[in-house]
Amino acid sequence: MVEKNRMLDVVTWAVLIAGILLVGFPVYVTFVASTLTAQEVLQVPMRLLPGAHLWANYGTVLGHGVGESAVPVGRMLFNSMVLALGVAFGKIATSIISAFAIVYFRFPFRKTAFWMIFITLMLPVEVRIMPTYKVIADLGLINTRSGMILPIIASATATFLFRQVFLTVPDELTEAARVDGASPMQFFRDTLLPLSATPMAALFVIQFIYGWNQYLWPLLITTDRTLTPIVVGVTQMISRGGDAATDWNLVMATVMLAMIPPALIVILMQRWFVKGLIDTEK
Amino acid sequence: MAKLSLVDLRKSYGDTEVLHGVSMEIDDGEFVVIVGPSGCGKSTLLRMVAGLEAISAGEISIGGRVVNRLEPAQRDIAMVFQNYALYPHMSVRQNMSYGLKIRGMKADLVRQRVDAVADSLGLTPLLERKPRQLSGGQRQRVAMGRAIVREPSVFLFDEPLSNLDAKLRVQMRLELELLHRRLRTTSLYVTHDQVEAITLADRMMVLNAGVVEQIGTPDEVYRHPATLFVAGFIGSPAMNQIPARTVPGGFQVDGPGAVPLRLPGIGVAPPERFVLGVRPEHLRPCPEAAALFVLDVQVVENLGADAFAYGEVGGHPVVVRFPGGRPAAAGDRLAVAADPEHLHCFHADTGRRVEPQSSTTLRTNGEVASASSAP
Repeated sequence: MVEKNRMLDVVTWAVLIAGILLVGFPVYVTFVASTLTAQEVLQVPMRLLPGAHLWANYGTVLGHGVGESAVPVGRMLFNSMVLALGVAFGKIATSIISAFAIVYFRFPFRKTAFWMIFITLMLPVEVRIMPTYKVIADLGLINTRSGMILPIIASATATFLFRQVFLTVPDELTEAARVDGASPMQFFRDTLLPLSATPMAALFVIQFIYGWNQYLWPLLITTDRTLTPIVVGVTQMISRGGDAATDWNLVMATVMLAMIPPALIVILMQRWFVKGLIDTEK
Repeated sequence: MAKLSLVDLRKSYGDTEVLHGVSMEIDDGEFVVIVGPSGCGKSTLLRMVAGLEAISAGEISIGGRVVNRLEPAQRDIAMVFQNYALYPHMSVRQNMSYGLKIRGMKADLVRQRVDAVADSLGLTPLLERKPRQLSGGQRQRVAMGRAIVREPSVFLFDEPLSNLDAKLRVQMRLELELLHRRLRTTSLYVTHDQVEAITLADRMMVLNAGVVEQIGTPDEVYRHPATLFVAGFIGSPAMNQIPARTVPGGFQVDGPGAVPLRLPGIGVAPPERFVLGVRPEHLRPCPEAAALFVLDVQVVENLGADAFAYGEVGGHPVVVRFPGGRPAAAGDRLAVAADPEHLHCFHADTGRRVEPQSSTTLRTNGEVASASSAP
């Protein structure tokens, strides 16, 4: 990687710039489309310079919504935020506790418990969608936020992450805490939690985006439009045939809004995120 | 402060017993060092006292209270770990306060105590730092500070100096000694380093393969090693061990050449087959007629203050230490002798020291031996 070669530099830059254009251009077109009127969007060739309706479009979308259902996008953003935060925090909380139990306690059927959790890796929501729907329905959680969040939380990946983190904590630290008289929960709170801060942050980023991007499950479990998250909401704005025309400018504005929170999370937490994934020493 | 007593302690993992009945009474304020090679069970023993390892059989009591079933925190002990085991996310102050805080001590009292201990250890300027911002020696001192603030009855040290470099180790050893002289807290200290053991201990326990080889003051252990193992383990370079046998009219080195051994009266009667032990520093050159044995010198190492001559007698390696000069060169034949009180005799089979059989000291047949040693 220390090679100094002009040709190589040019190629490297060319590849990187091509990659950025490939990813960035559609986003830019989306943005441009969200600043035009409905007529301007449909013009051929499409305009590549932003129009004058930025505030009007975003105002309409946030305040009133689009299409027949017309749920304000502000509401959808809030729904998505609840969903993403619920998934992120719920997953971190349950998995860190279960990893604590598996690593630090010797209880009967500990191995069995571990393998039960392991097996859930093979069963994402999409695979167990029918039985999960039945369970949620029986619990009366259809059309509730809990019903939307809980099944997504139940998976083993995060438990494994924390198990690995805990296994790197030296035994002597646990013993020092015992000599100091810390109870298991005190040890958990005062030592393990602070030591797991970076992996927790990394996991938060991953799970937030995972929750934000949920489509199939929320679509299935909610019929109440006021609970619809934005990812589902966008698709409902596009009319499938029929008389109603799709206001593409408004749809694009919604798409832009849907992209902002996950992008912000990644940008703001990037340092923690990278550190949490590569930092094993501690 | 308290007495610590270990009664026939045993530890097994499954069917394998790793500690075969260790007993010792440790007095109030005594500093006892457990020393032995790695894997001898010394750390296990310490961890049993700490309560971090279950006791398979036997009894531990601290200050007259049996603690077998108590949690570490209830045993009134403090432990210094080999890797210090400082909480990496806490400052030095938090590290030192944690145990007291958990016990529910008032915050201002904790502060006072930590300040006092930090002051006595020179840690005051470091109190707000994190462990990773400290050097090895400083971390070591924090680990000790954390133990001291708890004011326990017994200190437990698990090879606390082994992660430090040689120079720092000597310095910390001295600090430990001063600290003990100041606090006078009963201490149990585990190490594999015999120099640490000898310099720090009031009394030491030499442990080998889960068996106590000897308990005694460093002086006793050095002067009267109870077994061949102790003789070889304590002292550097190790004590010379020359297998020998009693032959009609005297003794000779076990091995090719039937090299004669001229033993002066050493106060015991050697059995038929025995091992003669003599420390390198107790051998001195002498005229051949008065020699204990004659050595073929192979290498001479000059260390400045001392010189070591490495050689062989009857196929067994022997080291001789000379203060000052260089009395021999490679290829020389060197006649050496030692004072009778510096000669040790061990049973060849059991490795146990041959003790005087009764109050009447048995004289070896020194005259016969000397006669037979003539070629």
